[in-house]
Amino acid sequence: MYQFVLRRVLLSIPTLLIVSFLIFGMVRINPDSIVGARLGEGYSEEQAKQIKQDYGLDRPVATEYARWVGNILTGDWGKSAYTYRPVLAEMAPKIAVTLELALFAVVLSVLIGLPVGVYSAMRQDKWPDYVLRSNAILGLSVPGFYIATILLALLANQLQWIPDIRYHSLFDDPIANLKQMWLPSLILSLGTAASVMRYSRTMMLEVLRQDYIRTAWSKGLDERVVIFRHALKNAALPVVTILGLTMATLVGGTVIFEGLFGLPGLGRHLVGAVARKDFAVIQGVALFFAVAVVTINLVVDISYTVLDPRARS
Amino acid sequence: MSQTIAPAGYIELGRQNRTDMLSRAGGFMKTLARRKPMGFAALLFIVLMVVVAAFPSAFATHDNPGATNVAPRFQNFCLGPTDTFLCPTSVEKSQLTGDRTVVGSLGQPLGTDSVGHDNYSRIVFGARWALYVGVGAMLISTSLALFIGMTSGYFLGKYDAFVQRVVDAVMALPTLVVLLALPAMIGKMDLDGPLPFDEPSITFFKLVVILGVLGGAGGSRVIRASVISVRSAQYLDAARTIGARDRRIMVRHVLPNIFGALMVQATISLGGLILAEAALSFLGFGVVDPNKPTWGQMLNRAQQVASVHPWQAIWPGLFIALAVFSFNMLGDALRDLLDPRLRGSR
Repeated sequence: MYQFVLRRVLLSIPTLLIVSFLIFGMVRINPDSIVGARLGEGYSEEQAKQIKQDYGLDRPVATEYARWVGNILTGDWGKSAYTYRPVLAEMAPKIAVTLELALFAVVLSVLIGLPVGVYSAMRQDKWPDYVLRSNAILGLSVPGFYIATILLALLANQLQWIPDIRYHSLFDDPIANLKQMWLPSLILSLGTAASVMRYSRTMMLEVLRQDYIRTAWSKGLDERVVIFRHALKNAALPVVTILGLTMATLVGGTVIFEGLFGLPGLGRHLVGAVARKDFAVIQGVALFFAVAVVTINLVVDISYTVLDPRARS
Repeated sequence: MSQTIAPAGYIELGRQNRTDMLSRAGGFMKTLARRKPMGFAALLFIVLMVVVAAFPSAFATHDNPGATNVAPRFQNFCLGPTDTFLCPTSVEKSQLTGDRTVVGSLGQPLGTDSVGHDNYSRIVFGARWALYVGVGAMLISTSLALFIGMTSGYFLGKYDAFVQRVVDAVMALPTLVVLLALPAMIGKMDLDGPLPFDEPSITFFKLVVILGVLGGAGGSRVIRASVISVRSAQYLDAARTIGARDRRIMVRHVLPNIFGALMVQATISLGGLILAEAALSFLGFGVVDPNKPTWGQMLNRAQQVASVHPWQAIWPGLFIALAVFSFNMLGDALRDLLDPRLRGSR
């Protein structure tokens, strides 16, 4: 068990190194675009040289990468070319917003997906199953930003309601915070909920076919007892793994929804940085997202193994 | 080679003559229509989309959907009684759009957008871009997934361990974040541009390549799993015994047996790729050239005026959803028919 945890942690180190190298490498694909973004048109050779020096574009990749990783680890993520403030300090307050949005979405997707999946499995190949399964594919297909656009448009047009453009922190004003968070989290959760539903249905069907369930039925137990006391525990645990897999998609979703609902999170920060070609910020946010995805997958894998004895073999 | 019992979806590559293939395809269509009517309906929609994308001028009422009409006006498609929000008919004032007369017309069944582009024609032309991005990226991602998944699952060992860490790393990168960040790093901000064979500019192509590479990593996992599942089969041992080389075994023996999984993967990935392009364009960073109307770009424009003209957003989004839904449905149906091992899984 400890061996597994240790192995899994060690395995994620090369992954993190490769991820960070990819993000580090993005800026070096075309150094001229950096110079162009900083200086616009018509700059002198010296100016270009200076920029390349500032960004370390004139030094060898290997040493520069080592230096960059060292800086990242000591908390120096570079400076924004737009505000001249440290990238990490700018990101810090925004992380909480994105984290809250993603966390709510994950919780909602389990709250929606799991019961629906279990019910669908209980009624396998009957009409409720068909309806729910088709809805799940619909949930995977209809883009969240489409639903949000239509909903916001109708709300604004019919009820003269628009999302609060001021952000209320969860700690300062929990009620106002939840008021502005529930709708974006709910729409964001729909896609993940569909994945959770499909997966928990499959898992439930697998469990329901097993001998101990047949034993439970033959003892004359109530359907409720069979499902909730016997089957659910074994079916629900593997669903945790799907949450890790959908994390990257969810992060992409926060980018869109923070913009639509005016939430000052990392995603909106990234969109702004892309529009301003603020490379240090783009790198910082991308790195944070990627490391978060790797870490969450690590935590999911480990907790799953700890919780589920079947996965330990 | 002795006759083996073919598993469902077994397709022997390169042996059969043309009529045989045609009759097989016909038979498969019948099976699809009978056993998976929704999947068959999805296929019909995809065929329609391909035809429309191939000959947009034959379907569009306005041949140059980038050009504005002489009298720019907002036209909405009525979905209910007039003078309600289902069919706004009064002259509306908006800070964003100025005065706009809202009228329906036969020539423009879906109305026009905020600058007078015909919505219907733009959706017709949009099908071309959706398929261009989707199919282009799918070809790259599927080839990449096949190569990585096949070699990784076949050889395993240290090579596999290394490749899987790289795949892990690429999969950890959120697609949308990379799509936003990378083009800015590469050079030009916008990704619009003509088709690669039109002009030397390949900016649209860039989007296809990025999407393809990112998608290839995830897809390779599925292929690798299928390869591993057939790896210890007896017919591979038999092939090895008679001295077949790795490459021959992979192409002649492994590939036909994972072909079903490959087709499923390709079909389902198409939906995701079209969605990714739409999301990027929706954020305003994808294809911004109004002469190249993509559905995501239309939705972006509609969103800007959505509080005044909510129905603008309906059409482009509806077609994004329909296209993605069709590819997902067809992929699901194909999975059930071609790859019994994966039945019912995600």
